[in-house]
Amino acid sequence: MNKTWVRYSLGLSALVVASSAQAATVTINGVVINLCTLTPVSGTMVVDTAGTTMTTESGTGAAPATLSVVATGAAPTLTFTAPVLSGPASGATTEIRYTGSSANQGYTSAGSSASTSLIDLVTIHARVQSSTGFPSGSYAVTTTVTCGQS
Amino acid sequence: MMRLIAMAACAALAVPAFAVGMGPLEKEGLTDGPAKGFYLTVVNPFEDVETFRLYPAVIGGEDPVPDVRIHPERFRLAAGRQRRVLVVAQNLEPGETRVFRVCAEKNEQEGMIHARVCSKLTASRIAGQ
Repeated sequence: MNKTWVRYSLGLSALVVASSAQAATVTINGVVINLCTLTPVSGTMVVDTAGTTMTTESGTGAAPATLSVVATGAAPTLTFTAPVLSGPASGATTEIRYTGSSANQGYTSAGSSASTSLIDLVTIHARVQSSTGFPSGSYAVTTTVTCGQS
Repeated sequence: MMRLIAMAACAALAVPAFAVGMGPLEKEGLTDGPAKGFYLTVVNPFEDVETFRLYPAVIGGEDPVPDVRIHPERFRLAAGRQRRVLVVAQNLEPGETRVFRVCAEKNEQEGMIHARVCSKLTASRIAGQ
């Protein structure tokens, strides 16, 4: 074995030793806190052909409201207050219903609550019934949705 | 004719989405003094700057809670940003446990859905101090 080969072999060995000596474990940590984000989009109500019901369910231009839920940690609870109608009609019955991947509620004029998934899209319909019809003007059904831990 | 009535009675037209986020949704703390502080993080995932307000309320109701300070109570937050808010429960008596919630919402609500996020906070002061 000539001197050049010996020198090359020793250098290679040193390189291997150096490589194993510098091995390290890299750790990337993450912490998930219990957080909730709500993104609502309003809907549109339309009076039906009988003139006694205004709803998001049917009619040209009718559209439900939606509520996007993005939560981390534990699945949160959504609490809906009783729907409130503003507008010229008096004595009307105001109700909402909602559906999501885990939160479901039929039409009700009372407050309600439901557990939701960490990621969910809740569709919210409104229905206003007035036997005396709807005078012209602007109407709005509002409900306050609270994301929290039950 | 009915179409005209329908158009006239059209309620809240679709409005651009806004969002509010806050966490943690639940927090407990023990102190040996009369005050206990909590940090909450408010998030604006909306694509525009928004003004948010925070306020304390009793659990299961809307009544205000005395002796709770929030710093700041109202602030503007750029799109996609978050900030910490300090909540301080004050005048805790020895052995007292005070449970309340702090809610965050857009300063001026609009549209059919008024969205808010509430954190349940529990501040306890050890007895005999």
